[in-house]
Amino acid sequence: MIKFEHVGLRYGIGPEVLSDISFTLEQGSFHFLCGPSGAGKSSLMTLLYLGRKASRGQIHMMGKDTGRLKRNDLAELRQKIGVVFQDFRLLPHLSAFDNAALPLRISGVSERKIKSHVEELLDWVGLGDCMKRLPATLSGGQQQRIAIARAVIANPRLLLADEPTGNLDDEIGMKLMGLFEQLNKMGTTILIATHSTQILDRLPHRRLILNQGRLDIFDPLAPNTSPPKMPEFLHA
Amino acid sequence: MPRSPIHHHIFSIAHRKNGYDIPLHTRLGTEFLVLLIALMTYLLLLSASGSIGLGHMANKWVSGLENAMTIEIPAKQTSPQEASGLVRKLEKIKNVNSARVLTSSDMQDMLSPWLGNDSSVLADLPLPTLISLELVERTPETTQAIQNLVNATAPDAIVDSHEAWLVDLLKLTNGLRLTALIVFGLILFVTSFVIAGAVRSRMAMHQRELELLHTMGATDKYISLQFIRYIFSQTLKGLAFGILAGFITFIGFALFTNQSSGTLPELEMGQTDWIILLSIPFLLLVIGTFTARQTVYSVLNEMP
Repeated sequence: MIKFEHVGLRYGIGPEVLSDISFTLEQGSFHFLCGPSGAGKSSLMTLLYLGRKASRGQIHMMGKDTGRLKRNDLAELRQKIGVVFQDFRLLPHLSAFDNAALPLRISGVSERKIKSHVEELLDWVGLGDCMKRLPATLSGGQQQRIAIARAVIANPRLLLADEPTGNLDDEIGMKLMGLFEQLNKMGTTILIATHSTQILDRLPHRRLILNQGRLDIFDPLAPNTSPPKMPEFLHA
Repeated sequence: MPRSPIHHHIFSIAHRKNGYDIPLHTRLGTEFLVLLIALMTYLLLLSASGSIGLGHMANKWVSGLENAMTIEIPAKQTSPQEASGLVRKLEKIKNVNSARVLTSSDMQDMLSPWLGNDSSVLADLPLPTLISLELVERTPETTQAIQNLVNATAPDAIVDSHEAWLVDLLKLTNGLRLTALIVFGLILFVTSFVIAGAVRSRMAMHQRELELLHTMGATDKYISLQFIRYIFSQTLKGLAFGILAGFITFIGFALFTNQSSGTLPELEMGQTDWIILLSIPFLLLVIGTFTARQTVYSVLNEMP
């Protein structure tokens, strides 16, 4: 599904923020991405949603070498990736409905289908009454739920989420994690960047641990596996 | 019936209240772009109609004089019989269609703006004898043959082929036409430059939205269509104002020329001229949308 081979990333002529990263995410797997601030989580996420090109190494995604793809093929690949940003990145002039509908419109789905899918999903995340409201009139938690709805509306093959439950109360946070698990059971590969010890404790998925631009992998369910030296903030 | 991606795009845009994924219409500067396009449209219409009008004037002057010559024999150097004899000889020269001695009535008509209609004044003046020639075609051989005949018959006579000032006049009008065309081209270039600048500034303003759409898999075509639609609508508004201003100016000019003394040829617009003028808005629309598309593609190319 996703294969990073000796990937490095630097901004301009600065030092590498990611060094020699190699890992594989199998189709339908569920991973958490952990690491302290400045460890390179956002940079890794940017590479995963094809927002940047790697400075070195190769990234294979869904069977394709992303470095060799043409622009339109890259766009098509991006349509199969859902992203939940930490700062939501909702379009302020569009209603909750239109924000959530964006990926479907970009993919050219008919308005009839868009209407039924978006209404169903927004109902499910508890925003059925807020469909026509602009993001500025919604609370942080409501905005985050729209961002999540937008990320999953097109049934992506890969879902990336950066602190998706950061602004939600525990109940809704766990409900949304349930949605992610449901999507995962349907075959969506999921990678969630999180600091939440509650989520990490409850969901024993594999963890990619980034520290100072380098990556370790920890599987809490694997027998005879001792966790790597974990950063203190995880308490795992 | 299967729907094309374009159909989906247009349909989905129509569904939204504001019509854009990128809030292009919500920031200041939109009116400025409309105003600039209105001004450019107005200037284009003026320069094009100026060029067309000058072309017509030059054509009228040329068609009136290119096949005409005048022979001027100083007063009292020839009798009416001699003049008639010269006319008969002139008519036998190849390419001379007709020749005639101007009558005193013709002379009075020509001089009446200066001397009034009193024919007794003319009788007291030592007026030259004028022979007007109409040629089938002006060739050097014909001109030379006429000159030779006149030299032999009336050595002091002057053959005025109007060439000198006709050439100067044509140079002037053609120069003005060329200037108008250069101005036309410059305005088109500036319009294209302005639109490219407007698109670039909008793209810079909405960098975050662009990145988001890009991340969600929007193709360059999808994003460029939004800007093309925006520039198209702004250009249409600008065109409407520009055409209105141009129309008012043309009416004013028409009223002014109707009241003039008739020294200048009247400006008449043919079917082709109207087609040229009406094609200017389409030209601007094409340039506007093409520039927007190219600018968006070049900026998006900087994204991965």
